[in-house]
Amino acid sequence: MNILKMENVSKKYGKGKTSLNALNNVSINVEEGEFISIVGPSGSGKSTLLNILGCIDNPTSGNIFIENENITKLSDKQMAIFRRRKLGFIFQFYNLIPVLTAEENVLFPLMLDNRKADLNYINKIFDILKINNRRKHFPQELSGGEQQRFAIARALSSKPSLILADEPTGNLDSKNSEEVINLMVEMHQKLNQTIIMVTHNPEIANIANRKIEIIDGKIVSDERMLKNG
Amino acid sequence: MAKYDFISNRFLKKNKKRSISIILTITFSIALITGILNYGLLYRDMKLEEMYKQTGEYHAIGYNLSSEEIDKINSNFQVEKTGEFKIFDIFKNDSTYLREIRFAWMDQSSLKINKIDVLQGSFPENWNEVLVEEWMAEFLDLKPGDTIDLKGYEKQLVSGIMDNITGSRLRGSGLVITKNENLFDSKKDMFIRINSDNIEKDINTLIMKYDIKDYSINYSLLQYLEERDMFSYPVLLLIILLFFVSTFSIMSIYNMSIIERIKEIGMIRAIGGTKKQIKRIIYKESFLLSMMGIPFGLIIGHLLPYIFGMIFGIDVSLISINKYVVLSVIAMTFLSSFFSSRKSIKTALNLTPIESIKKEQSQEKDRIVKESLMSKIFEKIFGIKGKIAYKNLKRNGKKSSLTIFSMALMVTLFITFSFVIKSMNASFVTSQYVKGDYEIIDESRIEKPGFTMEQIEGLYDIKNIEEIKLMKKTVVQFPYEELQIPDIYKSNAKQIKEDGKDYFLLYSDIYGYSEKMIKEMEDFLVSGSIDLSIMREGKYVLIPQSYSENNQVSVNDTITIYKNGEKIEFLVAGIYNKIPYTFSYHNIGERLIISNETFSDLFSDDRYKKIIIDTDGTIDEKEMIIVLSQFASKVSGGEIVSFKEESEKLENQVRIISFIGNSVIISILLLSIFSLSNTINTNILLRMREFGSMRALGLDKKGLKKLISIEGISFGLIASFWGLIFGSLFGTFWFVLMRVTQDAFLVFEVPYLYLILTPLGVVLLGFLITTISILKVKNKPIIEMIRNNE
Repeated sequence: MNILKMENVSKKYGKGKTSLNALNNVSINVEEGEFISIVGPSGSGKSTLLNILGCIDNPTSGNIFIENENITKLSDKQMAIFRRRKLGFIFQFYNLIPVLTAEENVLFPLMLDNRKADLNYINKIFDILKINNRRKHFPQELSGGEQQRFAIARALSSKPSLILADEPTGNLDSKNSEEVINLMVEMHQKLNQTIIMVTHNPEIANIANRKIEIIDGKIVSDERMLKNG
Repeated sequence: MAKYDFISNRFLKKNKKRSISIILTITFSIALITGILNYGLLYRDMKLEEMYKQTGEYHAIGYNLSSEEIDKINSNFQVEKTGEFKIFDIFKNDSTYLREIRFAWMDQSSLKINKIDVLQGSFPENWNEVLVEEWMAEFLDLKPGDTIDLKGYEKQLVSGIMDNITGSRLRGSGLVITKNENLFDSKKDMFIRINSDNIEKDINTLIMKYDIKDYSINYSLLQYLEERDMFSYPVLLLIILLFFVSTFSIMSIYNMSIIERIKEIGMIRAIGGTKKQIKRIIYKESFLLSMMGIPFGLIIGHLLPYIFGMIFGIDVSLISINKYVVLSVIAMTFLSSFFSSRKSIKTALNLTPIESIKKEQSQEKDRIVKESLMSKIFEKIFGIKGKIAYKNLKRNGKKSSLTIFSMALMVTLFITFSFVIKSMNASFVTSQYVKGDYEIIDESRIEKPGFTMEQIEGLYDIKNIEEIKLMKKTVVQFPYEELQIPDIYKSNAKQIKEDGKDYFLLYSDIYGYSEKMIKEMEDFLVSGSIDLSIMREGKYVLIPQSYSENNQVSVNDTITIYKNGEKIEFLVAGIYNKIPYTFSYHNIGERLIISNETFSDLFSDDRYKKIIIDTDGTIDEKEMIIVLSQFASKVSGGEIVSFKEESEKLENQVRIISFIGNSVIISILLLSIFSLSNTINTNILLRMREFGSMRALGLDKKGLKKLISIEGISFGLIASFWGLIFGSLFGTFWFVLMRVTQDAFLVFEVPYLYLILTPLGVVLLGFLITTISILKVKNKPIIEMIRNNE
């Protein structure tokens, strides 16, 4: 099932001579259950792509359909609702809310939506991520790796259609990076979760089952790999 | 100057808005403190001038002094000013308006010491020239150059017209001053003013030292000076409070300015800047900012009393630039700026350079904010956003505390002040010392006259008068054991021996009350009872509770007083805790109450010193005063007091106090707004990424606005909570203190309206400030918010 469809999406920053094309007529189709890594050098436009997909940045032109809904036509409020229901985010700096416990952070998107948490599901995630015993702690009491695991759990909590991860291991040491990536793979496999991940680490990029390379705002390669598929 | 110092100026220029708001805060704080200090001094000087006009500047008058005695007193090192005079003749006059003329010799120093100015013409230069009081000159139609006939003396040429002497018009007693010393024997009277920190003690010592037998002490002035000192404590307290509020505001704004630049500070340190150098840069900044704020603050602070003066018609000529005020305010500003920047930079320097650079613009480590009752309450009321908002307040620890403290202080002051104002019920206060609608009082402190029954009989014919109460008064001596009286009174008190014990006789008052007044005393009795027939016929007396307790005197015990050396015994009929009818002046001893009948029998005195009149309220105030003046004029010291007039005077004073107090509070409010908007703005800046992630997680703009607004409202709620508690406590404490220390006539009233409106106002303030601050965030793209500090 086609979960995401991008049609000729462009993003231009600035005006006139100083303007910069961060994305140039990019089109992508994503099937449900895919684990895609987006790679490219700094300033290539990979994060811009992810942000536009995550409805936290607007394209200058083009259309984006997630589960057949054109997100470029949504109002601010509709976008917020869309984000909390259909998307999950994993940031490089975890961005957990410091005044909430780790568990509350995970449940926060559901609270915003006034939804009751599926505790069985949440517990299952905690078990997979091996963070059950740390759930009552505050972010400041957790290591970077643990914080990122809770960030993954938060991204999964609302059972989103799509998880967007922006350099999820960028702030972690190699051991924690490996663990976090393995967990993402596990999530992808066990929950059939669609994930799009931006990274500049080729090793991590190769763990995904599809790798898209962007240079100067254009897709230069779109490669399907079989090992995780 | 170090080479790197220029960076301070660059920082100031780069953060123009921040620099301007710091300068404004400093300017405002200085203006406020200087203004209050100056206004306090002006008010003090003004009141003192007013008092001097009424009582004169002298501390004592010595009578019948020889020129040797005068010389000796003048040569005393403690004597600051003196003036000589002699009232050597008094002429009775037929007019009810000008009932007598006092002919006196006076030197120019005496005029000055009594604050009497020559309004027209000049002080007499020749023997046959005189100075006349203004009201008397108007009445007799005299101008400088005219002549005046004084029986038994040659015609006097009016050389000048002088100020009225307090009370002389009311008494109908005019003063004429000559320069001719040959009109009386050589002995003179002398006004004496001394230089002392303990005037009452030293003036008595001086009188004893020179053996001045006949003297009087200016107790009205001394009492005022004593009360004035008490009045200066609240002003001092207010200044201290303002200093704290200002320091907190300055501290909070410096704190924010450092937080914003923590990365820059880290960078300077990374390239080799030492902690000392960083401190130097920051101190220089605070010095420059203070230097810019001080002149404006001082100018505004000095203009404020002028503005108040113009509004309230106060004589602004008394305002001067007080170097102590200026110097202390400058010192205070530098101190508070120094400590504020020191405090702010200290925490920033505790971070390593790399921590500073990486820091997401937060100088303190994130605190862990555990679940608490309050967080649960906030969650219950506002949902998860409420919980986050409350916890964020706690997380911001010191910054939030500072802001909440200054807001709570504002609420505390406001509530305390509203208690004060509410307690000042002008009508009630007036009713404590003016008992009827009108009172006719013989204020002369002479034993007799007072009003005879024949003189006041006509009052009963005035149809609008509903009730007349009559009161008598005489001075007696009351025996005290040595330990019961302060040393200062002992030197002047007569000593007697009674049953082998030594007693000091102190002047005390006995009041004669009419039947109705005695009956009213029932409400104030702590023991005993009122039996009118016994009170009327026997030697029964009502005594004060303090005397009964200090001397173990109970009902039916016998007490002894002395009148003109004669011993009189009374039986105690009752003990009272409050005296409703009294005189503004009374002696230091006890105030005893007997019936008017007993009074007449014992002292053979049928004259009334006070007439209390109640009307049906239909008569015109002016008309009534004219009618009553005719009665008052029958006695030389006769004065009329109108309840309405006195009450209006007081109400006006309450209005002025309330206006000034509210102005101070509004100023504190403005400082709090500065402080609060700083805290909120900086918090928002610091947490931009947090807000960005929340938005990314699905929080819409409205939700974000709500979250931040709840924080602002929470500031208001917490500050109101503490402010209401402390304000009510201080307000009540003030009331109790005034009651205990000053026996003030105040009525305790809870200012419910203020108690409800203040928290509402403060919460609204918090809400409005956050609403304005949110504008910075609301329309910022999420991606920019998340990347804000990376």
